[in-house]
Parts: sequence; structure tokens; C-alpha cells
Amino acid sequence: MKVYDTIFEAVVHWIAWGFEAVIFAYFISYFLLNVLSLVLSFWYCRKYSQSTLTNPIDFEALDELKNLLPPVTLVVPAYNEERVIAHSIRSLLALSYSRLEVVVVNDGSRDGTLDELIRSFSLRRSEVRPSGGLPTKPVKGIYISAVEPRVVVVDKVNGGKADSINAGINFSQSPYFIGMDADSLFEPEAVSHALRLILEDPEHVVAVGGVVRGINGSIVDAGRIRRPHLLFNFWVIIQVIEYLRSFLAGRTAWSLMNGLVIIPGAFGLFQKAAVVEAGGYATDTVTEDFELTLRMHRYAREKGLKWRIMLAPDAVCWTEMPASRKVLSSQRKRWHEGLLQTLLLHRKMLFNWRYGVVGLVALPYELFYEAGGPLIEILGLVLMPVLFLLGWVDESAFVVFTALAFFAGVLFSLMAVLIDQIYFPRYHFPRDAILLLAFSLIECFGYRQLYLWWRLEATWNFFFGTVVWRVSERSGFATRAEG
Amino acid sequence: MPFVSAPSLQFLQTAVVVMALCNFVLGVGMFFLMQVRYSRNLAHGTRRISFANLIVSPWDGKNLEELWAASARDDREAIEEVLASDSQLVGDDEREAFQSFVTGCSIYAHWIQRIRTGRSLERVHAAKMLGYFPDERGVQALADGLRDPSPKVELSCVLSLGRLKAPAAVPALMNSLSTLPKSIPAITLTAVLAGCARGEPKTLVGLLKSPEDSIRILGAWAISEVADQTVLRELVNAAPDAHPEVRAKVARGLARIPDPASVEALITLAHDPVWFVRLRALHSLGELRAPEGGEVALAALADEVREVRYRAAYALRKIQGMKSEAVLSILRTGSRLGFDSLISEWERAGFLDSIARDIAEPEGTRANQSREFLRVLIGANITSTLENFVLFYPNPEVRWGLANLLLESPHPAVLDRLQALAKDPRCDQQIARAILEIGLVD
Repeated sequence: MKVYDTIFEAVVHWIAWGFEAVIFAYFISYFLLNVLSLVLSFWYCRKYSQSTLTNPIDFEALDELKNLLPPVTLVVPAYNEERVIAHSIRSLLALSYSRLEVVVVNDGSRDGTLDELIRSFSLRRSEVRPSGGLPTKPVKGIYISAVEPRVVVVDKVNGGKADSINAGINFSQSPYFIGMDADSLFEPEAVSHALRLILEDPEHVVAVGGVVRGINGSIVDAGRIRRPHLLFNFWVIIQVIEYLRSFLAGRTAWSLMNGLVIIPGAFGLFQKAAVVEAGGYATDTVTEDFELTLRMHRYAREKGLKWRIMLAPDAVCWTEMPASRKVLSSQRKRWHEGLLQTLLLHRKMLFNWRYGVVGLVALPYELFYEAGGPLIEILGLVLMPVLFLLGWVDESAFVVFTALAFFAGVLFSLMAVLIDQIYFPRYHFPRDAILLLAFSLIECFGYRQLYLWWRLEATWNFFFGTVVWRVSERSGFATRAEG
Repeated sequence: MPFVSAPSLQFLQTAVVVMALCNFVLGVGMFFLMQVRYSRNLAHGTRRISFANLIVSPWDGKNLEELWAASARDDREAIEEVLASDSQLVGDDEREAFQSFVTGCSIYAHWIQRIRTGRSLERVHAAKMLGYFPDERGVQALADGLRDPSPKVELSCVLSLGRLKAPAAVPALMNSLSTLPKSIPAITLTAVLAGCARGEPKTLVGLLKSPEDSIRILGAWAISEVADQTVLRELVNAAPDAHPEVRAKVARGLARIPDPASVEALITLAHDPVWFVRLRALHSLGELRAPEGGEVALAALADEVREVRYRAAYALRKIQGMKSEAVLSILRTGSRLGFDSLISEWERAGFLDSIARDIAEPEGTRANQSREFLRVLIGANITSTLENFVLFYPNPEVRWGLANLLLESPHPAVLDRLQALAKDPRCDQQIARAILEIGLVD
């Protein structure tokens, strides 16, 4: 009996020790990787912002550039966007980039999106045929505008965002296109800032992602952001901080190493030929932006092409962020399901030296810390207090470890806000500073745990449930002008 | 039994304290950073407005010099910003006076001195400022700056010369093309060269003879922006260049020179083995509206590359106008790809709209031709736009005319669609009745 007790005790102790070791190793490695990412991000953003002081492609200084610039197509997928579509298109047409074409794809909307477009731009049916061959759902009609020759509307059977962008690519006439959301609002210089990275190295740079920011609360006038402002809403400010952390303190570092695996669906500039060569957007995934970026990396590596995929931190697109828990949770679950789906699809790339930084660093990071993170963190959150109550973890160790995790989280958020404020400031009012700082502290209590739970739910759904595209409700920014 | 040993716990405790302190300092620091920047921006804006109110017409160089001498560094920056911005905003009638006012001041001499002897950032700044005010001394200083050891200064000089569009800088720019930093994009160099050589493209022709591909491409591209009769011979001679990019740029340039020699060279380039050279040549033939290019463009509608076919359609539209005969001839050849390219390109220019408009014209050759053409289209089952016109075309006569033509269609599906259309509440009542009656008779 005594021997049995000893063995049992030993086994339990070893399990507990192993568990602690895993949690500790996970935390330390995550911390170190994030510190490294912060350092690289700072370096990249500093270098980038310095390079913009003497912009090598200075549109303002060089008149002749206007004739030399390549045309760019904005592909706008629209599904039930009746309330925002006309304002969105007008704001796109008002962008400073002179050689723009807008292809709006009405993805079988059930509301009056198409009628609104027809009315607003005096559209008429036309016999224009697709100039590309990406497979899509049937196209019902092509409309051209009598008043705005830069606008083409493709009316097609519903097939999702990826299918819509593929249809838009088929009808675009430019060597470059921008994949976006119908409610994205670009800063006037956004297209030229993103295109700059391609023009500086057109042989290699095939895709450039922009930075997405939350429009909620900002003053919008005639399709332009007049004054960026933070809306006093818990969910919105939390997301603003998250986006800053993700774009400015994360993706910038990946961009530096050519390991950027996500070009945001709200603003991604692509070389059309490269996307078509890689097969276009996949329609059987819920995060088509992530999947396409990864597939382009994969294709380039397998074909021996030296493609680069980059992020332009000053190319900014403002978009409406979910302002309620329900919509946010739905969006985050979708993202997580898409992450798992895409990782599974491209598992061949994982730990494969052939895929360089993407295979050896970026994807393992996504696997361990983004996909696997919720399992380990939830385990830590649940088991740490249990072990503490059982007396298997020292009281001080428990408190210190928890405090360390909290301060580390706050540190990363604050550093992201700092990068934003030093190099690419958009919020200029002290009120916004106070809100950002305060919510960097608050975020760790409750929200992070909730977010973990959502991701865990998504993981469960992915393996044991059904993955579905969840549509977000939008209020439409064009009519909003609150202070 | 605790598993975490005491020393590591101490280490963790220290880490917590350090991190908490870092967070605190970072948070407080950031708050003050934002506060300070907010106040600074406000102050800077205010100072700028004050200086803008002081630097007004009639400009007095002495006053500006006194203001400059009495100003601190930040204020000098604001003054420079005002000068740079005024240089862009000042009206044409006052531009010369304003430029003489600035270039005659000691501030201008200060910038020239700075670009030669200042530190790296000062040289960059001086180069930028010199770009706003045309003056021989400034152009020379900027041209000298093209050999600066700092790539940033070189870039600033290139951009400023481009802004000034200084012809005197062309030789210096051409000589430094192979030594300038690779970080300066080709498109920028092209824009600068073109800007400086506008009116005198001949100054750039030396680049076409360079043994380096990249320089020949740059040269051809820049010339293509500003080409005129003076460079015709050189462009025609460069048309058979070994590098396809050069040939494409030459084709682009020839579009600016209406001359039989250009057309001849372009027709040759329209048969180039490289697709983008063909594309560019067809586009240029269209731009020149050269009748000799019509046949080439018609043939190119069968090109294997989609982009080339589209450009052929464009050329055809420019050369012959959107004549229905061209569409009919393509339909007769049975080239579906050629027809798709032609109709797509022309439709974007309002082709069917113009044809439909014609049928409302009084009886005559044009109206009859258009009707005949539409009959052929309907016969080929290309009707979706015409059906849409029956519903929405603004002119009721056109709606009637089209409905009648569509009712003649040999395809039963067209009649079915028309009947569905007649039930649409937006359909003209008389047209709807006519369609439904014919449907009943059938």
C-alpha cells in the first residue's frame, strides 16, 4: 500500500512538474519572441518612417509620375451593403491616386445594393466580357457607368468574398489590384503609399498589406476621415489596441523577415499576375486573405521565385470594428477557425526548411502561439489555481507568475501604442492617449480570458462542429459624424 | 511540496518589479509624449500662421533676412515651410517676383552653403529647399549633390531637380545614372529625366546607346514621355533593340510623333515576338490614329494574349471609330476571343449605347445600318444588354425599336426572356402589351 502511495504521488508530482514546465516554457518563449518582434518592429518602423521623409516616389514633387504610374483596380466585394456602398465608392474615386478603376462585385445581395449602385452611378447593362479566367460563380450581368467611366459593377450569384474578389480580378484591367471590404475607408494617400513598396522593387514585391484601423467614433465627412477619434466603447478601444499590437508591433517584424503570412482582407495590394499564377483566392476557406498569402509564399518557394510580401505601415484603411460582444466573438471565432483550417491545409510547410522563414518560424509561431495558445493558456488559467490550492505551487510563485504574465501583456500593448505614437500617429488628442493607456491595463482583466474562451470554442467547432462564414452587421460610416 | 525553487522565484520577483516599473514609466512617458506633441503641433501651427502673415506681397528681402536672423531654430523651420508652401501656392503673375525675392535673400545662399558643407540631415534639408526655387546656383549645387556620399542626399537632389525641371541638370543626371543608389526607383529617375528634358528630348538620346540595359531602358522610358520630331530618327533606330523593355518604351515614345516613319516602325513592333512590345505598339498605333495600323489591329484581335487583343480593339476604335462593320467582320470569322475583346473594350467606351441611340434617328443610312447590325447581334444571341435597354433606356423610341428588333429574334429563349421582362413593373406598359400579345400569338 505504501509503495502504491509513493508511486501514485510520484506520478502526480511528475505530471504537475511537467505541466508547470510546459506552461513556463510556453510563457518564456512567447515573451522572448514578442520582445524580439518588438525590437524588429521598432527598427522597421523607424527605418520606414525615415524613408518616407525623403520619399523616393514623391508624387507631390514629380508631376511626370502621373503618366508613368501603373493603373490599379480596387476590387470591392459587396454583399448586402445598400447603406454604405454608394458612399464607399465615391470616397474611393476621390483618392489621390490618379489611375484608379473600381470594380464592384455584387455578390448576390438580398437587399438593394445593385439598385443603389445603378441609381447612384447611372449604370447600364453592358456586354463587357471577363479578361481573366479565375473560376467563379456565374456572373449575371456587367454594368458600366454613364457618368463615371472608372466604375464597373459585376453582378453575380452569391459565392462569398473570395469568389467575389476572383470575379473582380477577372474584370479588372490593371496589372495591380486591391482587395478590400465594401466599408473600408482609405486615407487619401493609402494607395500610393502601398504601391510605393512595389514600385521600389517591382521584380520581387508582389503583395503589400496596409494597416487597418477602427473608424468608430471618428469624424467622417464626404467619405474622408476628418478627425480620427476613439469611440468610448470597451470593445472598440480593446480592438484598436489589438490592431496596433498586431500590425505595428507584429506584422512589421514579419514583413522585415519576409515572413508576413497575412495580408489583411480589408486592404491588400497585389500584383494581379502573381495572384492569378498562384490560383487566385480560395473559396473553400473562411479566412481567404490568410490562405492566399500563405499560398503565394508556398508557390514562390516551390517555383524558386524570389517574391516578397510586405506591410506598408503608413498605408491606412479605416474600417468599422464590431462594437458589441456578440459580433466581435463571431468575428474572432471565424478568424480562429480560418487559422486552423489554413494551417491544416498548408501543414506541409510547417517546419520545412524549403519554405524558409515562413515554414520554420512564422507558421510554427502561428501553430504554437495562435492556434495552440488557447489550449495551453486556458489550461494554465484553470490548473494554476488548482495546483495552488493543493499546495503544489508556492504561494509567492503563483502570485509572481500571474503578475509577470499581466505586466508582460501590458508591456506589449503599451509598446505597440508607443510605436504608433512615435512613427505613425493618428490620434492627436490627449483624451485618446488616456483611453489607450487605460485600456492597455484593463485589457488583461477579463477580455483576454474571454478571447481565449472564444478561440477555444472555435477550436471545438473546427474539430467537432461546422465551420461557417458569419456575416457582421454594419451601421454604415457615411452618416456617422460624432465627436 | 512546491516545485519552483527559491532562487528562481526571486528572479521572477525582480522581473515583475522591473516590468511593472517599465510599464509605469512607459505609460507616464507616453502620456507626456502625446501631451507635448499636441502642444508642440499647436504652437508650430500658430507660428507658421504668424510667419505666413508676415511674409506677404510685396515681398521685402531685407525684412525676411531680419526675421530669419532673429529667429530660433524651430522658427526658421516654420519660415522655410511657409516659403516652400508659398512657392507652390503663389499665382503665376507673382511667381517670378516671389522666386527672385527668395533666391536673392541670404537664406538661399545659406541653403547652398549647407548642401555643400552641412551634416547629412542638413544637406538633405537644404537639397529639399533648393528644389522649390529655380536658380542656376541652386541647380548647380543640386547637380553636385548627385555625387554626395550620402544616398539620402543624392535622393533629395534627384527629387529637387525633378521638381525644378531644370534642363541644365540633364548632363549631370545622365552621368550619374550608373552611380546613383539602387534604392532610387527607376520610375523616379524616369520622371526626373523626363521633367528636366521636356522640350529638349534630344539631350537624352545618348542614353539609348548605353551598353547597360537598365540605362537604355531608363533612357527610352524618359524619352517616351517627352518625345517629339527631333528624336524620331533615334527612336526608330532603337526600335530593334535587343532588350524587349527598350523596344516597348520606344513604341510608347513613337506614339507622340505623328510621322510615316513612326507608323512604319510601330507596325513592325506590332509583330514583335514579345507580347508587351506588341501591346505597346498597338496602343501607340491607336494613339496616332494611323489608318495604316487598322489592318494590323484587326489581325491582332486574334492574338494569343488577351491583353494584346484588348489593345488591338482599342487601336481599332481609335483608328476607324466604333464601326459595326468591324464587329461584323470579327463575328463572321468566328473568332470568339477576338469578338469578346472587341466588344468588351468598345463597350467601356459606350459602343452599344451609341448604336442604340442611332435607331431612334429618322430613317436613313445610319439608322438602317445600326438596325442591321443589331439584327446580326441578336442573331448571334448577344442580347442581354439590349434586353436591359428595353427596360431602362431613357429614350422611349429606342426602347420600342429594340423591343421590335428583339421580337424578330430566331432564338426562343430571347422571346421567353422578353416575356418575363414585360411582366417587370418597370417595363413600359405599351411595350409590355406588345410583347405579351406577340407571345400569345406565338
